[in-house]
Amino acid sequence: MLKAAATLQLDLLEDALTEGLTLKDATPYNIQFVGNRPVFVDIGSFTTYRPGEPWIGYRQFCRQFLYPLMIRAHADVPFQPMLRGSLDGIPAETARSLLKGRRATRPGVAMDVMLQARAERSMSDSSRNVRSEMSSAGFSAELILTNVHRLQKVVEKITWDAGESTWSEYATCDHVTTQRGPKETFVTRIAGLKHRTLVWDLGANDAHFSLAVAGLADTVVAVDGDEAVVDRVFRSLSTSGPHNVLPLVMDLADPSPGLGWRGVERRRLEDRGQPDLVLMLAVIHHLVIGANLPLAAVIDWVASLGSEVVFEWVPIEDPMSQRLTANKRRSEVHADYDEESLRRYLDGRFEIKEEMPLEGRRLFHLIPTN
Amino acid sequence: MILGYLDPGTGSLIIQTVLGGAAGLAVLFRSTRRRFADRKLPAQAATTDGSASELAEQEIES
Repeated sequence: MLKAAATLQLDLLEDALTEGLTLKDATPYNIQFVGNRPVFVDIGSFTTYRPGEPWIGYRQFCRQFLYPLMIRAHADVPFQPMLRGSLDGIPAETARSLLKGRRATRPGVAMDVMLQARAERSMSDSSRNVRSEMSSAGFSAELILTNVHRLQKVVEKITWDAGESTWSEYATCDHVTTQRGPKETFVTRIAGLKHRTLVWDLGANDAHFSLAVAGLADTVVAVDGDEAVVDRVFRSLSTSGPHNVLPLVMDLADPSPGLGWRGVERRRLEDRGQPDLVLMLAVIHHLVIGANLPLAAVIDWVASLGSEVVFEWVPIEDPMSQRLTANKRRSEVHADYDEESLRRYLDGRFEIKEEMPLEGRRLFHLIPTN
Repeated sequence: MILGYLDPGTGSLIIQTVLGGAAGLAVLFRSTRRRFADRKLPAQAATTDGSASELAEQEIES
């Protein structure tokens, strides 16, 4: 997804320069996804190009687009925690330390990483007015275009082979294949009770249920913590659709917080939209047993969304729960992880509109009471 | 509304001449030659170039 956003950023800058304009910054936050289609949203970023000016956003483009893509592809280092930790992106010096050695031979690394890191280091205490110097020496838009065309090729060549991950083969598990039919019937029937504007599928894995309800909603956001799975979903959606499904990488036990100045420059997950339906299918055991969150706290959080919920209860006896408890003593699992406690926590927060047993598990259709 | 300040980075600006191909290298050459000229002839350059004037003043003070 970041690669798609980077490509759009460069294409727009190319078009802008040929029209006598430029983009005054280069941040991925200026690009949002409508479904899985990248859309540039910061019209104010376009400004008249002043002859002689270099590309002011080049450094930012490198820090927030290029270096994250490079370290993911060439060093197999996930960039999400780094971008989440710093709105300013990844410094050239950090990228250099991750991309030295043989990785420095990859396209763009020598110039955009090594050379830039060296230049930043050597010029860090300079007071020179470089913009003025470059302008009077004849810098022009054609030079920026040459650089943009080069970067388009560099970005195009960056490919990340996600390979297999913990959850990439989840959909082929026996219990998944046998339960999917009746579960899909339940989910699509509830989703189809009325038109849905925004559906969140939390713990979406291969987005099977996101796709199942895509025709019943304006937008479906498929959230999963496994980057390899989400990347595979994005590639599939980009080529064959549907185009109203947005896959996102996010750990529900540690979701994206508010970032930047006073924590409000970039909003946290809960402030980015108001879903009218939330799917929480086969995810509760990961949160309570896997991430050790109290069941009551999870239900409280779900209720705070103020949305209808299709919720799947996975008991402690379930094989997938047992897998999570394999290296835990019973005392290390929340003692109230049982259906009776679940119903107690739901009471007062949700009305249980409907429920359906499913091979030891149970599906609930929950309506918020406030 | 948040108004962020974008630091273009001095080093990142300079290497754009290198990344601009042959024409960029020509800009780098002209820029470098001008800086050396300003250093050698601060008084003369001060009459033609603002940045050189500043540099000349610094050298005189030191």
